[in-house]
Amino acid sequence: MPRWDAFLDRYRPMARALARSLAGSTSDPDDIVQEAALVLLGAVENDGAEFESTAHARNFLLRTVRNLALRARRDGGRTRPLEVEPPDDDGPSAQAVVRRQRELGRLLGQLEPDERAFLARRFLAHETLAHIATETGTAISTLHSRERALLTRLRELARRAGMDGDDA
Amino acid sequence: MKQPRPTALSLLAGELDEADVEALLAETERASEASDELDLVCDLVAALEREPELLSATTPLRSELVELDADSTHIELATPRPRPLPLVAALALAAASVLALWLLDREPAWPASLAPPPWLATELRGPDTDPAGALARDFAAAMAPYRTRAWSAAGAALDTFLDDHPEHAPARFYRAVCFEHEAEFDRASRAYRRVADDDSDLLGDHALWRLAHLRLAERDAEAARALLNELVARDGPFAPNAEALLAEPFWPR
Repeated sequence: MPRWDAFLDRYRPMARALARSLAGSTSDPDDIVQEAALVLLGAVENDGAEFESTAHARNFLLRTVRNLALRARRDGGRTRPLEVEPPDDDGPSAQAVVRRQRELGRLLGQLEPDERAFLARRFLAHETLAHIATETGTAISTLHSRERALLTRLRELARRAGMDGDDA
Repeated sequence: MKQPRPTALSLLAGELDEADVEALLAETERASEASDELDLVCDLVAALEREPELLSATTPLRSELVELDADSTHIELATPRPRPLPLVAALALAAASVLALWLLDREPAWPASLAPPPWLATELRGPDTDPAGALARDFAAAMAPYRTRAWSAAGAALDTFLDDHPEHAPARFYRAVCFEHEAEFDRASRAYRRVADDDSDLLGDHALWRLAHLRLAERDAEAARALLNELVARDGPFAPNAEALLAEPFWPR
C-alpha cells in the first residue's frame, strides 16, 4: 500500500462523494470518510500483507464508507477523529499523486465541448443519467454507452501521455 | 431488457443502492479494466475538486440537443454556446442554487416539457438511381427547416414528403414533434400514438415517451403514468427512462 497521505489524496474525494450520495444530509461526509479511514488503518495494522494491493485497500475503504453512510442514514452514525498514526511505507508521494491528477485533468481539454458538458453534469453536478435522459430525450442505455466510451477514451489518452502507471 | 453495467461515475450521482455498489466494486476485483476505470474516475474527482474549471469552461449545466454530423449515427448531447460568465460568479451562482434548494421546503418539481429531439442524419451514399439513397436525400431535404426549428415550415415539408411516403416512420415521428411545437397537441398525440403502435423499437418507444410528457404537461398524471407503464412493459430502450420517471417523487398519491 502506498504512503497513507498519497492514498488519501487519491481516494478521499471519491469516498466523500460516495458518502454524500448514500448518507444524504444526515451526516457530514468528511466524518464518514474519516471513520472509514480509521477502520482501514486498523485492518492494515492487523494484516498488512492483505493490503499490499492499492486496489484492495481502495475497495476496502469504499465498502467501509458505503456501510457507514448507510448506517448514518438509518440512525445517525457516530464519528471518531483520526487518532492512529498512519503507517510509513514506500510508494509515490502525495505530491506525485496530486501532480498526476492535475495532468489527468488537463486531458479533459482534449474532449469535444459536448463531451465535457456531459462529464460536467456527471462529475460536478452529480446528475443522474435518468435526469439527463429526461431532460434531453435520450435513452438511458445510449447515455450509458456514451459514458463508458468517454471513460475508455480518457484512459487511452492517459496511456498515450504515459500516465497509465499505477502504484498498486 | 438487461440493464447496462454502470460506470464508476454512478457512485457520484447516488444512482446505486447498496447491492449495486457492491457489484461495482466486485467487478473491479474481477476485471482489471473495471479497476482501472474506477481509479481514473477517482483521480478525476480529486482533480476536479481542486480545479472544477477544467470542465466548466463551456458549461452552464443544461444542454441542448443538436443534429448530428452527416456521418454520425448516434445521439450526442450538445453544449450551449459558451457564455463568458466569470468563474467566481458561476461558482457562486451554483452554490447559491444548491443552498436555495436545501433551504426551501417545497413540493417536488413537476418535470419540464421535453426539448425537441435531434434529427439523426446518416451519411448519404450511392448514386441518384439508388432508391434508398434517393429516399434518404428527399427526407433530408424535408428535414432542413426542422434543423432550424422552423416548425411550421418543417411541418409543411414533412406533409409533402409523407404524401409520397405515408409509411415513413421517422417522418411521421418528426411531424408529431412539429405538431407539438406548434401547440397542436391533439394532432401531436394522435401522431405519436400511431408511431408507437406501428414501431416496436426505439422510434416507437421515443414516441411513447414524448406522448407521456404531453400528458405530464397537461398534469394528467393518470394518463402519463399509464403510458410510462406501457413503456416499461415494452422493455425497450426507453424502459429505464420510464422506470426512473415513475420513481420520482412528484406523482400525486
